[in-house]
Parts: sequence; C-alpha cells; structure tokens
Amino acid sequence: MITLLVVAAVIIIGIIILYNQIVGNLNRAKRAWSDVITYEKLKQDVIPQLTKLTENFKEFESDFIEKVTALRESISVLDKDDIDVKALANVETKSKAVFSSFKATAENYPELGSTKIVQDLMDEISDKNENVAAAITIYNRSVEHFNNSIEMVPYNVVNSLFARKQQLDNFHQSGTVESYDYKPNF
Amino acid sequence: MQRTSRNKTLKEHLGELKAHAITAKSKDDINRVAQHISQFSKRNTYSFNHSFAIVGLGLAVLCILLSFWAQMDLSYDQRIWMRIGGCIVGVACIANIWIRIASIKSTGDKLYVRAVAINAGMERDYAFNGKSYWQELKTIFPLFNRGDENQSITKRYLCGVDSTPLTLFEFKYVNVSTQHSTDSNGNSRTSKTRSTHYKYGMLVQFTDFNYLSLNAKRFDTKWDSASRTFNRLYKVRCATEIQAAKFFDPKVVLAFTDKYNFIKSMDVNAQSVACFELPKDVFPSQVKKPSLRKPTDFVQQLQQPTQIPMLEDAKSLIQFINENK
Repeated sequence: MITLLVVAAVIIIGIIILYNQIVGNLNRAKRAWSDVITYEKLKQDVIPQLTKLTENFKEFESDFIEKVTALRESISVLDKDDIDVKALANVETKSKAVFSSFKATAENYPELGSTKIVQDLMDEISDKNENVAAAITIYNRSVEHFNNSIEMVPYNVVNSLFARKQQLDNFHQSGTVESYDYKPNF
Repeated sequence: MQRTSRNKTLKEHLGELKAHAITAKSKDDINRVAQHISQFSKRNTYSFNHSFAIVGLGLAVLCILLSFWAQMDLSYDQRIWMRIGGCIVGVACIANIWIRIASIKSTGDKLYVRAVAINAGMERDYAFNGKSYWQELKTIFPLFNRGDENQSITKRYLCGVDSTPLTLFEFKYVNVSTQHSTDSNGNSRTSKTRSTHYKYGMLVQFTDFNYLSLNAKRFDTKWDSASRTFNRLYKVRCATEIQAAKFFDPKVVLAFTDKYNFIKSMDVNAQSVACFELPKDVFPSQVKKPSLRKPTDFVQQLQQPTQIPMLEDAKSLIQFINENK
C-alpha cells in the first residue's frame, strides 16, 4: 500500500515538473517573440527621418514613399501577444525593400551618401536590423526548444493529456530558399 | 676533452637562450635568437653526451645484480651496502640524464612562449610581488578569495586593445583538506592533503562600465534574457534592470551565447575595472610548443609563432563591450 502511494506521488510530481517545463518553455518562446516585435517596432523611429529625407532629396526613387508607408502599416499590424510569423515575414520583406532602395540610392549618388545625416541613418538602420535578426534567432531557438518539449517522450504524454499546447512555427524569410534546387523533404 | 666541452658548450648556449627568453622584447630580438640557434645547430646538436651517466648507470645495475649473486663471497652487510650504493648511483645517473633533457625542453619552451607573447602584443611583467598583488586583488574581487595557503599571482602579462589596457594573470592557490581517521587500537590520526589549483583571467580597465556582472554576486538585482542558452551560461546581476536590458540587446545576447561563451565570469567594480575569469587556453604558456631538439623546425616556428585564438577572442570581446556599453 505504502509502495503504491510512493509510486503515485512520484508520478504526480513528475507530471507536475514536466507540465511546468512545457508551460515555461512556451512562455519563453512568447517572450522571445515579444522581443522581436519590440525591436521591429523600433524601426518606426527611423521612418519619420526617411520621410523627411525623401522630401529634401529628389534622388530617391519615385515609389520610395509608398514603400515606406507600406512598411509602417505592416509594422503596426504586429502584435506582441499573438505569434504570427507570416505577418513578421511580411514586415521583413517590406523592410528589406525600403532599406535596399535607400542603400542603393546612397550608393548611386555619392554626394548624398556621404552626408552625415545619411551615414548616421544607415548606421542606425544597420544596428536595428542586426538586433531584429538576433532577436529572431533567439526566438527560433526558443521555438525549437518548446516544440521539442511537447513532442519528445515523456513530455508528449503530459502534453497530450494535460497541457494540450500546439506546436509553434519557426520564422523563415520568404524568397530565400525557393530558388534553391535542393529542398529537404521534411 | 671534446665530450666535456660539448656538454659545456651546450650548457652555456642554453644559459644564453634562457636569458633571451626573459629579455627579448620585440620580433627583432626573437629573429636574432633564431639566427643564433641556426648557427649553433650547424656545428652542434641539442643533445647532451650522457656517456658517463650511462656508464655509471650500467655499473650501478651491475653492482645491484652482483649483490644478489650467491656465488659472490660477500657478507650480508656488504651486499646491503652494494645495493644501497647501486641504487643511489643509479638514481643519480637517471636524474642527471633527465635533468639535462628537461633543461633543453624547458629552455625551448620558455623561448617559444616568449615569441608567442611578443607576437600577440603581450609583455611579461616580472616587476611585481605575487603575494602582495594577490592581497590587493582579494580586497576588490571575490574571485581571489579562495584557497587555504600559498595564494599568489604567479604570472602577469600586460597588453592592450585600442586604448584599453588589460592584464592577464595566473592565480595559484592551494586547498588543504584534513582527514581524521581512527585505527583499530583507538588511536586517531590526522592527515592533510594539499591540492594546487590555478585560475586564469584578465583585468580590464573600462570607462563608464560598472553596472553589471556575469556569474558574480556584485549587485543585488537579477536580470535574464529571452535566450535559454544565455541564461544557462550566465547569471546576470546588475545595478538596475534598465541598464542590463539596454546593454544586453539581442545582438549582444547572441554574441555572448555564440562567440564569447568561453567567459566563466565577469565582475566589475565601481572604478570600471573588470575581472574576467577565462579558461587556461588564453595564456601563451598553454600553446603547443615545438622541440628545440629539431632546430630547423623550431627556428621556423619561432619566427612565425602561433596565435593564441582565445586571446584574440578575448580582445575582440573587449572591443565588443566598448562598442556596445
């Protein structure tokens, strides 16, 4: 009788520990996502300066303002509490379009590219992009850890019976792997 | 005799090389030593003549064997003295051979380590008292508050990155553990075991960087990042969470997790002096050293010594902190 009670207690404690680990891993992935959104939204600080530059310098492409507006709108859709990797991918695509165009204009017009305001802006954009990329890497690692914790034994048993959490999606940039000849079959 | 002069010549030459290993300050000095070794090796080899020692060892073994030979007309005491004498002479001969071989190796190693240090822009500092320096550091950083006896800073290298000075140190300490045992007669016995330990690291003088530590309990406020791996490697303590969050933005967190994960701890005092505990590979004495007994290969490596990868990473870390603080 006592043996049965001890075994039952050990199993219950084990379930509690595994359950808490699953919840902890999910919360960490959510926090990592929050950080990604925080640093994405910091890009909005740069947008007014970009808009002002376009007004003052005619060297920018005619559709540059539309790209900047599209980027601002896509960033405003991002939600810290809702993990939406598709929305993030959309932001990253628009962000890439804006900053590539900005960089190309700065390189094509050296007199514009060598001004302090443009140099400072490029440094700031580069810094923000680095932070977003790093935050996304940390997010992906957290997602991997969480997904492992609900798929591997014995976590999958606890998850299917008690926690019932769904797998999270990793972030990947669209347009990066579609052109590859080799595609893994998983 | 030619044998004696060969050993004498080699001994004098090794003495000169040892002096160069301490006094060399630049690559030109190292190149001069390399040429000196090349010229020496054209006429001589880096091996002592052990003829007398080998003969002595042979005689000692023979003496011991004869002492066991029943046919020898010797008293018991004479046999005992033959064995004792043979052992003493044999051990002395072996020790003599070993000391000579070791002197060649240690001279070559010291010279190569010096070349590696000069190549890395480091200067060995001999002008300090290890015990006093340890006592001074002990009052500032808890890392040095360990060991039961013989605590001392045994080695110190001075270096710099851009305008940031840094000091590499080797900290030696001895732990003493006492065991009590009681035998079957009820007599208690106390025995002491001494174990020597080393810690390696660097002291860096930053400016305006005195608000956080890693794996050191300098501050009361804790902070953690969104990265599980970072949190497993480092326990961050800070003056305020805002300062920690501002410093540890995602790219810094990722860099500390992936590139700088060799740091064991980082402690900073109010004067922005940071003490990093690092693995022993940061020290030039830990590199793989060529043998002076192969002088051609030795000279080539002396003139193009290996880099210390961990030291380069440590320098890169200092630059990284300066850019992001």
